[in-house]
Amino acid sequence: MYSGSNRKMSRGVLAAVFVVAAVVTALTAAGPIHAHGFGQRYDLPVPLSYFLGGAAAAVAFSFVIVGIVIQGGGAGAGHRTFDLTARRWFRLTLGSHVALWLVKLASIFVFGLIIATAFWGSEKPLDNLSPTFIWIIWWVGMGFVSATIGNVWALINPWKIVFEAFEGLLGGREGFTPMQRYPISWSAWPAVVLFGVFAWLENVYGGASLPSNIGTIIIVFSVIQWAGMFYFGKNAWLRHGDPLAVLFGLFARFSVTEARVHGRALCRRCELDCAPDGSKNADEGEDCAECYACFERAESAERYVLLRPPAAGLIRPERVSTALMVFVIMALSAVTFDGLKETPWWNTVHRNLESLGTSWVNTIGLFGIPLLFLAIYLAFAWAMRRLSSNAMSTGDMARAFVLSLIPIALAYHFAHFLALLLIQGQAVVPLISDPFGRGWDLFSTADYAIDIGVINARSAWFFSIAVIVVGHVAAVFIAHVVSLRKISDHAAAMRSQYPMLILMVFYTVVSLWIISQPIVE
Amino acid sequence: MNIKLKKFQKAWALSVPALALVALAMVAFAAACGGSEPEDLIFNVNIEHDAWDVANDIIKVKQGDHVTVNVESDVQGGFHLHGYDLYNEVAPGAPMSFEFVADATGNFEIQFHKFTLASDELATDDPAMDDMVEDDHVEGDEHEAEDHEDVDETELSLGSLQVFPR
Repeated sequence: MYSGSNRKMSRGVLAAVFVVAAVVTALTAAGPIHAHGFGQRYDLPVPLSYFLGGAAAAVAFSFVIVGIVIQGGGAGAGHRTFDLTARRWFRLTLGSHVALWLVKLASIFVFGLIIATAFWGSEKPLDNLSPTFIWIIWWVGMGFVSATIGNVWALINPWKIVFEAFEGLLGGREGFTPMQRYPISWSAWPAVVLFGVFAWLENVYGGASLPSNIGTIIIVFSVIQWAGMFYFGKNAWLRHGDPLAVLFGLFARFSVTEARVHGRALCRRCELDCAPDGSKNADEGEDCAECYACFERAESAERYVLLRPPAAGLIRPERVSTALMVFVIMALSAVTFDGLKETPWWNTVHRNLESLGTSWVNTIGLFGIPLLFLAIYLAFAWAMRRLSSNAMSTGDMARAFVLSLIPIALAYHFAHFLALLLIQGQAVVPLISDPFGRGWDLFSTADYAIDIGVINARSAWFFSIAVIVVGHVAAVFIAHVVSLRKISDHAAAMRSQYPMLILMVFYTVVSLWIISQPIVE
Repeated sequence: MNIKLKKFQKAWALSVPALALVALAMVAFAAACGGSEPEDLIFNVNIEHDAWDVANDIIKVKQGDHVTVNVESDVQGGFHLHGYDLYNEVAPGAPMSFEFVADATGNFEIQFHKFTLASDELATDDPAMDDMVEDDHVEGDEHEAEDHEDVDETELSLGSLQVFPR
């Protein structure tokens, strides 16, 4: 089992490396335009006192949680939920067909507008709606929304909506029949590879802020998305191939809402293998949560939207594939690299490797860091297995605990991007009046000047530290709950958590260190 | 198991107020740091050989300070403070001075847009660069570079202005 998935993994990694090398070579020939992503950052580095305070708080809370778990124990799977769909006001407003239709229409309108402005608008990034919308409002904003409110992307994913529209028009009642059943051995590797490409475009490729390039990227990505949905079926592709659906889906595990289908029979029949813990025949188990294939198929009386405590979506009993594990590690590393590449330390690395060129140094960083982190993570998983003298393999251990790292990645995403979203995000106000950069003033907002004082540095520091500490606490908590479920012996479960705790403290301190570094370009 | 679970959830619920307490302590700590009065600060900047003579390339002030910057340069160009979006031109023998109140905190890049005589081979045709030049000073009333067709701009990053919370 383990060696099999290992082989699959190395094949996937090889494919990813090959694709990336080809793309880098092709695109670096065009030459970088900006050395970094879109949008200027005005963040002041977090002072040493905040850094130390945050690190101390993270370590202290770790011990508090360990203490609580040692005393209390518990499977932790049971949590209170609040059924939104049972409420009349919800069914009449946010949950109504009209509201959903309006949201979907708006999404398609924005999707079309962004493509139009990308191709036919001004080629100056700051005068065109596309770059600000894509890299700040959507990329940063969607991460924030997914992690707090819920998997909104599953609702507004424009590729999904357009595909569904065509399916409704041309495919009859059953929709298109997939050309081929999605190969189980592919797992989520297509999403891993495509996410690698996306992360490279965001973090390394200098031309990602040029409107015409954004247009081209959207078109190429659209072809891949629709081909994937048509060939393998919409839901199989969204679950395994669409990097954005996978990413925002993972972020949304932390959020306070979930879509659920009542009735395990439906979940067991589902082609997506979404019954809890993958146990299609097990009698125990829950309804299937956040499985949109089941959700679509279920009668309206069988499906519901719940409010739940934050992070509850990360402790469901489930089987995590090797591909998804690599995806989580890559996402974690990509958000970290986005900050790391602006530190004076990375600048020094650059100077020492000058002969390689900017793009190659950043490419090595972007893909080397996840590999390094994966190696470290596997080493810690090995230590966890040894300490708990558990029958699980190192790979099983690594897969079982990987979702507990998500709060740390999210916390860093929030800390790193808050000021950018609040300050540069304001650029969208003048741009909606003049999306093509042609001097229009549709809504009389074209003259709006960005207020750079909208967030005070001290508030930003405090927010960053607080959110990183809270993310750390959530991560440690989740890992402990998972350990108690996976390892039956309480003492062994606790022992397994020592390495995990060290790893999490290490990662949290790295996050804090990055935000305490001055931003250099 | 159920009793244990309840105990566990109770403890978890207790840690939330604990977090809030720490948060409050940090805010109190942060608030205690401030308190000094705004100052009038003058910085004399000399640009020579594509660099300025500012220690560590950073001008540090505190929020609310009244800042005056006097600039001299050995070549013609524009002194551009990002964020605050202040752009003023300077030439050899014609020093320039500008002032502002540092009301927004943050780290703001300072660039020198060096004017050089254009040669066709070197002329940059990069729309992204154009954009950085034009868009960053929306007022543009003092900006004359575009009037001279034979002049090119090279953007040099001098360093930054850091405005710390008071």
